[in-house]
Amino acid sequence: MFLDPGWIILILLVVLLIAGLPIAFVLGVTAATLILIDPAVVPQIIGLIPFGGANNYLLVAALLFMIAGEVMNQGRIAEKLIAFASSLVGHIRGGLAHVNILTSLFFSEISGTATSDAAAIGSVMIPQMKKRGYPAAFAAAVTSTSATMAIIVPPSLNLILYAYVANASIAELFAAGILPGIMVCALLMATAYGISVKRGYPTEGEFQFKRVLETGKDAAIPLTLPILILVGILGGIFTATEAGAIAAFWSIILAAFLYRTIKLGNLLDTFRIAGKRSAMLMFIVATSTLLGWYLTNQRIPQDIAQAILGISENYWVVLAAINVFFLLAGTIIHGTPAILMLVPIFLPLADQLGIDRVHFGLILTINLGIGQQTPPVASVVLITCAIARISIAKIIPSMLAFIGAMLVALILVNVFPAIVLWLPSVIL
Amino acid sequence: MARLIVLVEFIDLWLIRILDALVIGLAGLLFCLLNYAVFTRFVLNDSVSWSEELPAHVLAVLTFIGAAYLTRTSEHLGFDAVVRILSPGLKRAVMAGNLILMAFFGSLLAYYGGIAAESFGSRMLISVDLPMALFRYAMPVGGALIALVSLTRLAGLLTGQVHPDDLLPESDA
Repeated sequence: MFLDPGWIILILLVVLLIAGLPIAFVLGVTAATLILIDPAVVPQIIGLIPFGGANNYLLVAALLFMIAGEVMNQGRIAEKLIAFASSLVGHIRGGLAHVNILTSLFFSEISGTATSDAAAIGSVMIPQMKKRGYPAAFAAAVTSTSATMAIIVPPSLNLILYAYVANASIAELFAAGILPGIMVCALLMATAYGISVKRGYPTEGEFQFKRVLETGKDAAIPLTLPILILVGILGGIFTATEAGAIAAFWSIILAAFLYRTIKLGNLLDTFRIAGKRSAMLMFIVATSTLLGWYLTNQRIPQDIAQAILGISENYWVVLAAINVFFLLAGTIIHGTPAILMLVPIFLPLADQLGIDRVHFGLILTINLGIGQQTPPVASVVLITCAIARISIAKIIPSMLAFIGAMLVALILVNVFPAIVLWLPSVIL
Repeated sequence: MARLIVLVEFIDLWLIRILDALVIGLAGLLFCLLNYAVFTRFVLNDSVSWSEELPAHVLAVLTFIGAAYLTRTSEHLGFDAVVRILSPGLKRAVMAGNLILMAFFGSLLAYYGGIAAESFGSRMLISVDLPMALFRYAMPVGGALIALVSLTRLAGLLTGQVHPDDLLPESDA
């Protein structure tokens, strides 16, 4: 070939991505072009590999958790969680900001996607916060950054996808995400507290144990879902896909029969939304599997790993470089394709450096979560801006402190792998 | 020409309806299959043999049929920040190029996917008495639909029936 395949891939990926070709096609066209011009590769492989990528039992879980999240979203379950969170942390200075963040943590353990989280919590919390005198930009910033917890804590769809690409244990990844998720929650609340004290934001009355019990009773049923998922998967009782099925079924029972907040028509809508999102995700998986196959066939990830290690073999220097690259990638590529494109390339490097695959998964996930809080790829920010009715330019200054808090969490996770690896080692 | 446009619009409308129904049906089918599998395993204590193989194959069907649907509705995920700021003429040219590439890739999926599906011939799934080709043909069918939709939209773009902004990829998921 007149040019090294690695360079052709890089040029095609960048040019096609910038040209606005959908990412699944960027990956597919790049892989197919390389396969067709490489005489050493049989083109019939194009008819086999993508189907193999899409024919995946583990990733059925993604569809099922999407159904659960969407039903919970349309079924207004978030309102019960908000009332419970309010009784717990509403009395702290900047009460509604803390309620927003804590509810996000609760809802994250049901939805698995940051966009569902932002839409469900934001649509209730942002108008309430505005009414209580919080600036719209602050309310949107709190909602947007706290929604990131959905891709860190179980049942994070990004972690499910990473488990598939990296051939890592989904149970270990789910257990590993719990402490970093709680840490991000605490850091965001600390940041919100600091800002609230400085700006004199209100509290939501006194702490009352009676109210905690009353609202806790209402929230207990929806909160059984994450408990069921965690206990089931971590206890080895059922697989992630079975957990997804149970989550979807239970969420429909709650919303359609117990609370009667959704009807049959809404259910068809949730299947449509989840089906389309799942097809979008899986088509990217299918085409990235084709590109991944070609990359592996040409040993390109190993060459990249060697090239990077040739610059420096210092663990911390390489880890810092990986983090910076992931952060930048997260700002321009959505989480799903970023995982599918970056993991096959960087995993051999992580293995050579001796980074545990579960630890590496959380480093990647948190980086992408932070990267997606900034334009141009900022779907969660766009949702919260739409709800708050402000422009992206106005929300950015309010987000800086919260992004800073998330960067602190990222550094801690990098420096202290035990934050990620301790819980799986204890409970699995 | 006017008759042709009416015919294309009629086919397009029905294509959307059929693909929409298929996506809802396949997502619903996966929901039912997995819950039935959970029910038999944990309640009846008698697991079904197809609990992993069949849903995985149905997901593959959803992937390729859904991909064709998303091509029609321009809901595939993409990065549109640069294309959005291009001049209308340049944007039209770039979107035309993208549609050609999508049609090209769809054709490859249809052609090579068809060869692969045919090679599976009368082979059956391991766990259930269903022909593999039933699922394998989803890829060539999806690929052919992607190519067809892309070429139709290319014709629409070039004749001014479709606005380039309607073809921009989805930037949120």
